[in-house]
Amino acid sequence: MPQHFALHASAALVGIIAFGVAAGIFVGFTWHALGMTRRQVERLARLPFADRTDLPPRA
Amino acid sequence: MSDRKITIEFNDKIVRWFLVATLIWGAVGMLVGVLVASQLNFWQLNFNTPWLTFSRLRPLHTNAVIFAFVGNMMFAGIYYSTQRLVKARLASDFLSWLHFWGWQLIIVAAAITLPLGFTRGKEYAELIWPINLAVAFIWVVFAVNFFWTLARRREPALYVAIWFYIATIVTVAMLYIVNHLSIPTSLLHSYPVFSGVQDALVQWWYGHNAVAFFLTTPILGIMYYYPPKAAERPVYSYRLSVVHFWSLVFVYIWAGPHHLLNTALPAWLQSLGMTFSLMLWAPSWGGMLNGLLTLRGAWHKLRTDPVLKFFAAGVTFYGMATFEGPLLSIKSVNALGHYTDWIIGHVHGGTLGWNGFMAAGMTYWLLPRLWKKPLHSVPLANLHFWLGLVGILLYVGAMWASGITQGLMLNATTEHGTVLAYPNFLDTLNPIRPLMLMRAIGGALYLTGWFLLAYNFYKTARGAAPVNGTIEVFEEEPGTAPAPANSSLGFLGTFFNAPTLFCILGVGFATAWMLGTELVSTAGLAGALICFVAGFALIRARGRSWSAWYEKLLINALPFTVLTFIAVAAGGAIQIIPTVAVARAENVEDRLQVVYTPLELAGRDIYVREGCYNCHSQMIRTLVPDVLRYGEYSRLGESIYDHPFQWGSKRTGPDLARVGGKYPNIWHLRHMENPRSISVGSNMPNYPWLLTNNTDVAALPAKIKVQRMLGVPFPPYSAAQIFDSVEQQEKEIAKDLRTAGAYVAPEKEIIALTAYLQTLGRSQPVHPKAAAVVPTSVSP
Repeated sequence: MPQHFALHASAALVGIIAFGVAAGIFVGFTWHALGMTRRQVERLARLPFADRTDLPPRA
Repeated sequence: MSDRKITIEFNDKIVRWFLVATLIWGAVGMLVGVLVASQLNFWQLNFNTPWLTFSRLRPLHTNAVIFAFVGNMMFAGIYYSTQRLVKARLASDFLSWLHFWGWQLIIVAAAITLPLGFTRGKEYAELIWPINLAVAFIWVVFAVNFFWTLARRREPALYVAIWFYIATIVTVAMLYIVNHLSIPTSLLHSYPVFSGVQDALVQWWYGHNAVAFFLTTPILGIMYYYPPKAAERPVYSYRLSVVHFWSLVFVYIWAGPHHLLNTALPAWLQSLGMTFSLMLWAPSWGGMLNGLLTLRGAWHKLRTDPVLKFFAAGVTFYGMATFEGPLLSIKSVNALGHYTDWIIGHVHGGTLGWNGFMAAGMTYWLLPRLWKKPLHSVPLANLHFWLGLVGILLYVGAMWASGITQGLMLNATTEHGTVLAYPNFLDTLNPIRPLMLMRAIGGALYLTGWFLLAYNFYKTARGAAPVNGTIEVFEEEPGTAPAPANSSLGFLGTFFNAPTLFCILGVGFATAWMLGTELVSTAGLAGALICFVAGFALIRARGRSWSAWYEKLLINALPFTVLTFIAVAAGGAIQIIPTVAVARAENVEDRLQVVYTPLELAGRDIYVREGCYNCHSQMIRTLVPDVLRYGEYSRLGESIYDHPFQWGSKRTGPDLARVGGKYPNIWHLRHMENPRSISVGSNMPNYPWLLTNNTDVAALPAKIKVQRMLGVPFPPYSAAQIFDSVEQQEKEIAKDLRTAGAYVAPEKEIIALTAYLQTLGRSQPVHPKAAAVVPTSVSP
């Protein structure tokens, strides 16, 4: 391929660490999401409904 | 715990104003869109007027619909839902109004400067540097107002919509700042600090993620709040929404290089961009299905409720666009679709279908609530939906057909792949003209639907007495789960704990295993296995404490925001840091760009000002049809001094990377004066003012000074030497034109532009190691 581009060892190391940290956060939260209890999930899912309705009466 | 009730009055006035601004700017942005679509068919609609010309209006259209239309819609949606989700009024009325009026002033400034040709020459990042500073300032005002509100919230848990809003705020700030790093040469002009491939990479990291974090994540937050409210049922799967969020913010940011496939961009970046784009399928469709399935049990309401119609169709278009995006990111598909109308169709499926329909659905849902009056006309809203839907289908269908037709014709070869089947670019333009007309009609239909919304809006709001929403809460909410004891998370608590460390170490070891050489790879495998086993054992033994950590994190906005930022920033850092840190001189392949003369630089600035990049690329891809049509593929070193890069993203006209020397000077003069006098059937606008305007020579010393600061090896010119050099080259070109039978005064802009166009493709062969040649003498 014509498009060779030097990848410095230090940049690769920074890249691997950054990828590891970011992927770790993603994996960790996914792990947690799948482990949430039904009670936790239902409470969070109902947050948009935890207010009084402010709809006007039907015309 | 107190049982004293208090009433919170939300700041809904600011929501109403942002909604009105959405309506107005949406109409303006789409109107300009219909005009530029029509200009592609009827060049006369450019009116030979600079500020009405396609190449200046197209940036106005894109900036208006992205930042003015979707921006105002996003702010309305975020401010309304956040107050209710966190049970607190917006923290500061002053900041809210500063945010509103600041943003509108920015839009007005953009609407004035872009048609006048003040531009940075980078797509969706055209606004000049003083406006960039204003955008950054107002974004900070928005962020402070938002996070301050979170700090005053009465609901400890952060609903998933808030997560998407947080990701939007931190990521857009990061993208905007990095891609707008510039050094001013005057009050209205600057050069970006990056050039060539570095500028291309940063630009498309920004450009792609403007789609991701300006047009997608805030709307996903809106999707997780408004459709559940409209359908009166909670989101289908909250667990899926968590996975959706983290996978989307982590994966999306890496996909930028798919805008540069088969170009001079290093192959490892192209592969990375393509791979992550394909990975995006999963979270995007997970989120789309979560949104659609939220309507389970409420599908019958779609027959009568325009709000749900808009939401269901909007989410469906999100699914369609996020299927098509990864498809187009496959290199071989991209070879066909890139630079053609297929990309335009893809983008408009997302913007008209996803953004536009979500905006309409949200507006119709908010109208009766914000003005305390029933919607004026439900049938009119239903008509809006059907007009919009037919408009989108016409638009997108036409663009698919047009893009694939032109792509196939441009790539078609005969004689065993050695000769182009359609060597004249215009032969590929004429067959798609009816489709381009159909696109304009589709856009006009969609705009008509928007005007119906405006009428419905006006009739609903007229005579209404808008009242701010309120909520009664206990001073300490007894109905909600109390915050866990000792719920604060410090720096150490956030980052140095078992879940984080095990995840980071595990993924780090796994990466070393995959990328490392023998010993490193074996050690990586061993480390990953140990982490997995130890982590599994620990979670069995101490699962509750792990869970408690996550619970704490979900109610601590700052550590949550920091972790979101890290997850988002990693992709850009890995792609951009090596590309910027690498020695440019060693990565030119075998050609090095020749530094421009002062007149050529002035001509290049005219090229950027006129927005030529909107229709012409300067990048010959590593594809046989490209090479057969335009010449040898473009090398990294051939744009190394270009601040900004002008590789382009669309070929409404042919590529210009090697147009220099292809035609005589007189050809360029005639072509810019009236393209059809040279290329019969061309849809390019006339640029007659280039023959009457004088080149801005006085600005050159400051411009060259900045270019030298940025590392472009201009000789150390004095101002007098610059003016002499310009005069000399102008006279040479004017003399050549006179010989060919045309008289043009040397100081006219067409002379400078011709000088620049004639340099395109000019380079010197060079061995990469010997590339750092810095001339010391003045020899223009």
